[in-house]
Amino acid sequence: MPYYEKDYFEIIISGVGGQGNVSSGIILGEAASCYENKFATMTCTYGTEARGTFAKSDVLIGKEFIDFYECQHPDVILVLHNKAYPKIKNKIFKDTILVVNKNEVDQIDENMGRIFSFPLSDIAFEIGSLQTINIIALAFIVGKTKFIKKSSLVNAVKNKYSNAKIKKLNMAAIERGFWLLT
Amino acid sequence: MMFASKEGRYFLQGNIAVGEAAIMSGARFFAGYPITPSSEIAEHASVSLPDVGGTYIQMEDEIGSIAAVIGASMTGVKAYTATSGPGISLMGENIGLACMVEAPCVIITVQRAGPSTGLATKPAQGDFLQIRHGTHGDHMIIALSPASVQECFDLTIQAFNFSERFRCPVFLVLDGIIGKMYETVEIPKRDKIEIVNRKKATGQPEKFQPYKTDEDLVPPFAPFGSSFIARANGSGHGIDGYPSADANNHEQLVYRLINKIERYKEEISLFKKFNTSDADILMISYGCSVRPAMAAMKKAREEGIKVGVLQLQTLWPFPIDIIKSFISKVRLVLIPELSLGQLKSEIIKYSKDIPVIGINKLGGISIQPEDILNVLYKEIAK
Amino acid sequence: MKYNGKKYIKKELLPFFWCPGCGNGIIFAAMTRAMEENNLKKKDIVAVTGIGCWGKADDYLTTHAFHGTHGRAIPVATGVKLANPLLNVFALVGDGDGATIGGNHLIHAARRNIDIIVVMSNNLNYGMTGGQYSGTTPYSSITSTSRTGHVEDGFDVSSLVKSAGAGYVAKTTIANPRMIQKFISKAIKKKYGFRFIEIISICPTHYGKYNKMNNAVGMIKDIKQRTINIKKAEQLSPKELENKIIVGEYNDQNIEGYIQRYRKKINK
Repeated sequence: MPYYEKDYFEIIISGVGGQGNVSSGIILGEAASCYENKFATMTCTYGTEARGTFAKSDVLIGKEFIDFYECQHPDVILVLHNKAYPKIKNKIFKDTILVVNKNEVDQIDENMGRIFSFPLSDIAFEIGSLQTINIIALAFIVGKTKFIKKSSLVNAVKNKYSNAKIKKLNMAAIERGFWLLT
Repeated sequence: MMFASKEGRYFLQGNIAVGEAAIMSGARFFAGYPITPSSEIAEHASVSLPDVGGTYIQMEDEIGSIAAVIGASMTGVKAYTATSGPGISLMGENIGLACMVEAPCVIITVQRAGPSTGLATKPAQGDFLQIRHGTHGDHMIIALSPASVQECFDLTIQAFNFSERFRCPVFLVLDGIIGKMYETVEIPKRDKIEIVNRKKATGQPEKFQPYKTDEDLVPPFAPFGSSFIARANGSGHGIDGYPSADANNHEQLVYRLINKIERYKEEISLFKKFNTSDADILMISYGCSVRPAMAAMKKAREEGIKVGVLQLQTLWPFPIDIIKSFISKVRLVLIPELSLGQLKSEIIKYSKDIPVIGINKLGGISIQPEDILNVLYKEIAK
Repeated sequence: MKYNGKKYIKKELLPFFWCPGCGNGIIFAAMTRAMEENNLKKKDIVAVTGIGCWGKADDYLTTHAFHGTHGRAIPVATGVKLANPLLNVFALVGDGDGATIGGNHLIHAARRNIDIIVVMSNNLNYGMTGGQYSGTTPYSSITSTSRTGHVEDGFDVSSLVKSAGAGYVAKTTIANPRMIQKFISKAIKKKYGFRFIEIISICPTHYGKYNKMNNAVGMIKDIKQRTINIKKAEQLSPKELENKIIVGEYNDQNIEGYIQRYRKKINK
């Protein structure tokens, strides 16, 4: 079944603190809630310090109210950092799409999940800010699975950033993320 | 800067939804001491209250915070504070003061794993009895508990309304999961939100008696600064607000403070039921643990097991009649909660010979649907 | 004296419940005269008290009153004032309420310069509960919980409040009712900021009895003998100041009050 026909979609955004796991989860939740009339939840897990330790967000999106707020069977897992991989490994199912930041994650089990690996840090750097790494990845994931519309992602990102320069960077990041599909 | 000043759909954190609803309820004063996992409520208040002409103050501790909230309330302003279990421990004495002087206020507590500092950033539901019995002396307390971000918004409005109507402190009980999670929330139009304000004193100011009640056992309110001279008294007092150590007077006063709430218990007892009509197994839960219970219920139903969920939105006064009526129709009761069975300890008082099984978890992590299903299967197999 | 403060006094409830010789009646009378001197309306005054002998003062006032828990008068008063800045808010605290169990509230209220008046009756012990030692009980004094002499030193509360940042700090004794009235009156006139008036009082029933200080007359005489003005004290050595009660204005500056500052910051 194509993802956009599913009633329910689970994604884990994982990395280390400071990589924008929370803000990108909020963008997804807003895209689904505010622009598609869907329901979404997000719960976050951190290490004890905010920066540099494992951090993940579980984002669940559905056509109806979501009962349980933790990912049980993720459709997609985004892994931005080596430190995150061992922590999410037990959530990788055969059909799970694993989007990996090649620059920071090197030790992965090639047999687990459907792996899409990109040098996301390099790409973000090219765009002009490492901060855009999440948006590039989200755009790729949205394009790949179509669980929300591109326009919803664009609207949520536009709404999130009031600073014109940052907004422009993130718009470029979305386009770059979609370009990765080609 | 409010986040949801207009009606519509939002994706908000539970703590923020509480803050938004507080402002919409008309709250204009917040005094608090930041504590994880409630701090976003204080941060939100510090930013939002000035925009609506309100005041935020960060006090030196939780004792001072609740004291300032009570003081502010007596000027006629809707006031609130937010904390977690350790803060409630410190507020204990003055929660009784709020009951006794009949200061409407809302106390938000976002439960975390204790005892003591415990797991400061991790959720729990171990303060169920603290909320009821945290202050000394015979008294009654109203406590509401949301299980979603939408309910964070809706029940905050309700908490302010109850506190105004009954002139008493009202607890809004979150936990680290519901407070910190983000979720879709629908903010209604302002004119669709019912806002209750406390009854005002009327008549001749010279004849005003600050604790003379109406038929509903609630005394009309006169704010400090009005020509109705008000006296708030935390010691035993007569209807004039002056101290009284008379035995009969004390008995009447304490009974009234309890009965003004007890009498309206049916209206106060809010709950939700899911698939209970044909259920022969019932899960009773509140707050975050409702969510895995819902998921487990759906899974069990797919397998033909007739499970229902009763979600308590009102924790206190304990909805005895509701509990009794639902329990009497089933053969098994399961109680998922992030504590060692505090809700269960209350329910078993009314369950007679129907088996009641707790599903309990410590460690600051959520109950999983499988945790519930495992117990369910085991019990059915018996 | 020109003023009698009568309109603020609930005469039906007189006489005061305080013991014969207690200093609280003197403070109470001086305070109500200061209110009258400034023509304060009853409805614009809120008296906030905690628990203790001086915590009963609100019972005799015809103003708005809040009688709360032990030690918490200052934070309650803080909430009242912030929620309705037009009110004249008085926190009436003893040495137990204000400087001991509520000591942290006192120093923080002084630091943030919250716009309330604190009138502290300091009788050096817990009078209401039988004369136990408090945070101001002097070293070696006898109390019901220091029968062989108090181990600790007492706070010099006015110096403490001054160093915590209060704009107006004044200290006097019950031996000088005019000075009590003058300081409270000045505090009212100042309108803004944290204003603290400490009045050294006496407790003949307990502290006086335990320390064999005769009766109230003797205790007041003793206070008079030990009293020295702050200006004069500046010229004396610590040795010479030992056992002295230094009265006068410890601090008299016009520091912006909390409410003014808050408004400025939030309107940025």
